[in-house]
Amino acid sequence: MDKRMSNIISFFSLRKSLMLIIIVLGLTLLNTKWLSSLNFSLDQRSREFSESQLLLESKSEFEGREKELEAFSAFTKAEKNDSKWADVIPGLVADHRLILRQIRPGGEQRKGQFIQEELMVQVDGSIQSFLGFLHALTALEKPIYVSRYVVTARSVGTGFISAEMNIVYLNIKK
Amino acid sequence: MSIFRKETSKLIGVSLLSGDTLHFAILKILNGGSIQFLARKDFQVMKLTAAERKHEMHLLLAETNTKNIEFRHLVMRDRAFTKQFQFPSRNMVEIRQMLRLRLPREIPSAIDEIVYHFHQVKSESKIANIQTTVLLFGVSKDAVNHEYDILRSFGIMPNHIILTTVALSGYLRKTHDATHHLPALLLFGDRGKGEAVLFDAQGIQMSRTFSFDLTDLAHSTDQSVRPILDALDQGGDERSYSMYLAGELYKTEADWLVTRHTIHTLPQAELNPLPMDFLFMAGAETPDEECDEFNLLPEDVKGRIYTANVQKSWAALRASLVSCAVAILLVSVFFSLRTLLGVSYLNRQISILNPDVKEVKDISRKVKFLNRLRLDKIRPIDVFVRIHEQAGSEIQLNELDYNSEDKSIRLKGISISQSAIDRYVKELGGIAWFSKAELQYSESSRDAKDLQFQFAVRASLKSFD
Repeated sequence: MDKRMSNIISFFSLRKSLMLIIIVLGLTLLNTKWLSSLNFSLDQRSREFSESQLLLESKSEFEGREKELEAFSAFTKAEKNDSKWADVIPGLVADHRLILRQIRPGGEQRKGQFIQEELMVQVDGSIQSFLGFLHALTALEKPIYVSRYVVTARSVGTGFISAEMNIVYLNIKK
Repeated sequence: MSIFRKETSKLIGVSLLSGDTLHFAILKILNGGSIQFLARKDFQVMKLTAAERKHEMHLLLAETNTKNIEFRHLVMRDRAFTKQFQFPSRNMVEIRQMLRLRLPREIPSAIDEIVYHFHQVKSESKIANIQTTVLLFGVSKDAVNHEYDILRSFGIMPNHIILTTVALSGYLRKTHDATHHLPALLLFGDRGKGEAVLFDAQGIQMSRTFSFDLTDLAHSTDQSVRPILDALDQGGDERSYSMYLAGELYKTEADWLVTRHTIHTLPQAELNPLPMDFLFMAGAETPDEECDEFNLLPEDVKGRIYTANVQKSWAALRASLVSCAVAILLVSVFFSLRTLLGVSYLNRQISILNPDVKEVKDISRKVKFLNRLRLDKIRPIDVFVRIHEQAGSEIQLNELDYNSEDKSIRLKGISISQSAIDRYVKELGGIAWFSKAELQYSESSRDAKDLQFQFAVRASLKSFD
């Protein structure tokens, strides 16, 4: 038996071979776990990449919406000075000849990327006044809208109503 | 009737390794006994890579367009030592057993570095005298393995290993009717190396090697061949054997030789073949013989070799297992690295797209905000107006509950006609803001004058997210 062969035999002794196999299998196991995490990461990344591509493809859809974006910047500018936005409401109520019965803050609520500040308002008056009030709210260059209202006829057929409203200030900045 | 006789031929590839050159030839032996060279090439082994060796041999074999070639490998006489035996049997299995028993006594200096082969050189079949002569030759195991390795690298594996001594004597006996001139002595020379073979009807009697100088053939053969012939002549009449010259010694005109012996011509004299071709023809003509390898080691050495072989096998098994595990690991690592490269590539691409994506996302967020705000601003008033518009004069509403969080509308009212209520509910279903509108209840009540119907309707707001 030549020297090289005896070297090989001594190198691949049972103990060393077992140790080698255990080490190699251990490394393989670790590598398999790494591979599975890499695959997971690859899936995520490829999804993210395809979403990014789709987003970029849809970029053309947003062209020509400069005016809207200007409106948005107007909203966001207004937000800086709108810390007391609720103070506007009693004036509006009075302007539309409605009787303000109750007004109280409803707190803040996070909805996705927006934050809603609520104001509970109860008024009495005619339907036309109430409609005028709603129109005035819609026309405000502020992110204010009515999320809920309950309108009850005080006396059916007379046109006088009692309305409870949740008025929301939608905030994107926070 | 000869036209019905099938013409058969045998193809034999003969190889011989001399230094770093592998001489190879393919010969065709026709059933008439004539021999024909189909291909012949010398390969410079060390100058060719393994792939080139296989390719060159493949081309050579393809040139001859032949299949079913029997390969034979010639071993030069100077690489081996020989011994001849006679056994009272023709059964080669018995002969092999007898050889195994006799060899340790006959060759006491046997070592484990030698591989023994044997040739059957003569078999006599007589009723009273059944004798088989075999010639044993031993070659260094390293040399045999080296030659096998080279042949394997060319993609050929010999069926027989033949000693040149046996090939030369057998060829001479077959091609030249030397039976009248036996015993015969053949002197063969090639590139300064010579071989003297004395053979008779019983087999090979003597085999010696010698060297000579081709530029001074007369003087060099006088020095190297003469002592061999003198030794032969010591026992009796110096002209008791016939003399044949072949190879480079074919045309020697050494005075001491030609005056002392009668030189018989060979049948190939007219062809004047090259010494190597002569050997190839001799190798091709050697009949197929039983051949075996012998191990003459003592039992304890054999035991040690067996143990070493077992150890080697186990080591090979363990090495294979470790190699398999390493291969699996490497494959696994390869896939991991490939995936890692894929992830890093995607990361790079995403980071390239990222500024644009951020911009688009920002725009999208703003547009989404504006859309939602527009919807939330317009919807409450529009819903209010449309519900009252659809009511007309027959329906009087006394409660309307709009809730954008629940996406629901509840309304209550009175009417003097059930059909008006049903129509009203149907018309509510047609309002674009609603996904559906359904009557929850409708019940009659009688006031002082007329019959009235109180009702409640529930509608669902469409989702525009």
